[in-house]
Amino acid sequence: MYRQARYDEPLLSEISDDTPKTRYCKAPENPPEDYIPASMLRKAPPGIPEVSEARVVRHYTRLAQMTWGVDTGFYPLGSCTMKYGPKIIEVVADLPGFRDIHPLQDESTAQGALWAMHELQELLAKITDMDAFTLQPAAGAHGEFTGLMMIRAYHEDRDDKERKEVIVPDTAHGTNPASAAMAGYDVVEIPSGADGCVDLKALEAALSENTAALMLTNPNTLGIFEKDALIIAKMVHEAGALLYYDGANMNAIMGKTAPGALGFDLVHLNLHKTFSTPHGGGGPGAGPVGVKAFLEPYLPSPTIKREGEVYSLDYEHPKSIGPVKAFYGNFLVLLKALVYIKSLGGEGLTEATERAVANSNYLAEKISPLLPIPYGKVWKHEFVASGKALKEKGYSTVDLAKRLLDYGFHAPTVYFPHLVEEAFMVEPTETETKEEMDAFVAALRTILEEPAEKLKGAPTNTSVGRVDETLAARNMAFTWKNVNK
Amino acid sequence: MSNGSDFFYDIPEEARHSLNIPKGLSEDEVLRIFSEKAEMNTTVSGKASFLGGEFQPRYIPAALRHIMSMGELLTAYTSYQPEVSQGMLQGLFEYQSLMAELTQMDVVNASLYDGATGLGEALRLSSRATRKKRFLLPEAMCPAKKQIAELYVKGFDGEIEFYGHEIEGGGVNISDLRNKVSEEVAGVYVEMPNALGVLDEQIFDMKEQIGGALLLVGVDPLSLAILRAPGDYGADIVIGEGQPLGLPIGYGGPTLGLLGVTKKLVRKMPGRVVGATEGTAGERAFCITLQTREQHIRREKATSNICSNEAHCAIVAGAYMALQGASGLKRLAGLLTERAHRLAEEMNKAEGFKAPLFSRPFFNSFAVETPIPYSRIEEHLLKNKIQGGQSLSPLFQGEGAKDNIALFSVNETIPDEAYTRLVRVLHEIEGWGG
Repeated sequence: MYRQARYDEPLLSEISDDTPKTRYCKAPENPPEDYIPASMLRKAPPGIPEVSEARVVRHYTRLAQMTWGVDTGFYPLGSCTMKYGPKIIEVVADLPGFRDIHPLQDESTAQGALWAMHELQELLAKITDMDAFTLQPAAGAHGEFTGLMMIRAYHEDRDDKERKEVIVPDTAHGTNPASAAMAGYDVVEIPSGADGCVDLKALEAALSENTAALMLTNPNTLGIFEKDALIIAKMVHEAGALLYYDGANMNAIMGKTAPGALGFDLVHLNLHKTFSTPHGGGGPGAGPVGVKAFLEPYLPSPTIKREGEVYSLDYEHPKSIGPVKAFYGNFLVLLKALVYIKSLGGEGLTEATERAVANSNYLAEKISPLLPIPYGKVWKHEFVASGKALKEKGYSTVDLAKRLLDYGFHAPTVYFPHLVEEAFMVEPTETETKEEMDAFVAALRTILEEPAEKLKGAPTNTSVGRVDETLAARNMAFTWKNVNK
Repeated sequence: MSNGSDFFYDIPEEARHSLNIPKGLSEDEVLRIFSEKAEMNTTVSGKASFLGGEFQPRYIPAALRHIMSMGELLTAYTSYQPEVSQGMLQGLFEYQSLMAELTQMDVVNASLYDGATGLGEALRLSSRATRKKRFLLPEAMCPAKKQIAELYVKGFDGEIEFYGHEIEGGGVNISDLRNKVSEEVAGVYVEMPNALGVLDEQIFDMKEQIGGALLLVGVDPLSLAILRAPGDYGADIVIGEGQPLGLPIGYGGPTLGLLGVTKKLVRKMPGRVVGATEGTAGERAFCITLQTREQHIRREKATSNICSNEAHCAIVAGAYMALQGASGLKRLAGLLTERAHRLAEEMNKAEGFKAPLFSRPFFNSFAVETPIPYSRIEEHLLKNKIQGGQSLSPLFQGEGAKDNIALFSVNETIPDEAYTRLVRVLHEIEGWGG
């Protein structure tokens, strides 16, 4: 059994601390009033508590201990690719020459940083079989928005202005329709076929002279490779639309196939998934976008240019959609991904994919007798089991997920994709051992034999018992001012 | 697991793609190569570098370095299972609370990507709240930020009009703004300090001058340790670049986008937000809340497509504020104010230089007018191992274009000798003129 650290750790505002504070910079000689009119200054200091360094470090140490990370254990969160990132990526990102450089400094004094970005975009182009990349987008969804605005610019540039629809399958990540709407498109959702793949008839019916693009992830969120990928590409292109690749599932295909080879015109990658950069409890991520040559003129500006051994920022792109983020992207995240790619190399990345997929199939085989997997015979990086039958036992998938926490496993993604009832979406990644996966299956088996009350009362071994999410929505308590001691 | 089975048989032959990239390197080789590349970059902390504006070199406390490398916080995913993520959730809740104290806004979310995209999201939010599509933004604003704003409003056919600034003061040209305000305007965006470094007192009663439009205020969060908080002068939405709160500059990212709103706008707000609640035994607990606004539930009807944010940066910024306390933040903000004013005074003594160029008060950055094109001065400074301020010529294009204005910023890592060296070199420039 697992026991998570459990502290009644007060909020910073509740800590009373009269020990001296560390001074991190010297004091000014004169007060701000000597330089800025008093009418512009705050009357009272902000309510930021005075806590000593020792107490602050202790506070965050305790918070860290009450947080499950990949460094803690198995994190089979489907669609999120929670692989272990080698610690060398952190060491490199902390080198002063990368960490302490300003985006506005002269290009001649940032050649190492520009080299790194150029190198990364070249490598990503090879991995995805694309021609050019922008590294600016800060996350996958931001990459989607960027890609869709490029699609819009492309159609508008061709005076093809009636294309107002973007098609997404019903299994798509929620960001796909949200990004399409944000780019000003109407979203057309198509149902999946009986095998969980794109239904070609539904696609054909949806495609028209109004279609701007189809957004697709392949393998899809059921972990199944879209068998008709090449036919889909042909259909989309014949309709005059573009084919967008959601790269969230790229970990399943590196070195086997690539979005370019599958006929996609543009792609975003999630460096915090496939390329191992840590997710930091929600971010930062990085969502570079790669395109085929005909879309290159629309890439966000600036791009990174190489002439001989000299690297520079190139702002001369009259058809560019413009910048999408301050400066050049989440540079330190980009750097971590580059270190990862350089460390593994082509063979290592291919092996990562092979192991990720082998692990997924191994787990699928072990889990399917316990929880049926309604779609697929062979899976890629993940699979989706169904907890539908659990209802007969008096509980549901969420209870199973919570009980897994008690056994020292992060729960898989639940209730997504919606196509599978009571979905239980497992993605082990390549960095887990057989021992860890076997332990996960054993825990699952044990739990399924436990009485319903055990599951409904779970978790009990975590920092807090089951969290009342409905109450949170009703409370609307977003700051410590709204919290009772 | 690798049991030799072929799990890829379903990928068509003609779509196969193998990786034509070099073999992997050993860890020591990787470190050697990247260390060499890092050496090629000139760092700005602790140096004679006067770049600043929204991204400022910052002394990073040793304790903060320790906190930012804690593996559990670094390698967690979004807190989808709150019971095993209480630490991360409490840390984000504290970030929200600390930012709410600084800004005096009712609610601050758990972060957006950065200050610039934060503006884009704020415009979208204003439009949703007012059902209008027109915005007024300052003409004197970072050009990339303008372009990003244009891109974000394009998605809903929004329209941006720019208002001018005072020639002398550097603040909002109020009569120009008044002329442009109409019932069609969803939001008016102002910056404090603005891109010219200016603190503009007129903004304190701006809310009364813009009719039903929302007031969007862009801030440097560090400056709020001493300046009046936007929540106190009627801001409906506050945005800002969070980097100044202890985040490494890292060539521009990752940092975080601050977003604060009034209670009224909460349900229309983009991005994740953490709320306080209870566990089964009535114990205090936290979780991500108001998720029905978000993409994974609402899909195309979501308030934004944002999923990954900059949570870890928010944790770090929160820890920075905690380490500094109100007193430490005030000391730092006061120090920067003093150093900037002293530098401006010295620079103003060099022949042909005007510093500060604008008459209104300033915080840690100020505009300088130079006797010859700034690019030539910048070049000369670089030869003397000084990175000068940021050229403002991109803000003064078109009619009456100017190439001799720059924004100089100070930070606490600049050594005392660097100030005297900068001023000495500027004095040498005398007589280059013509």
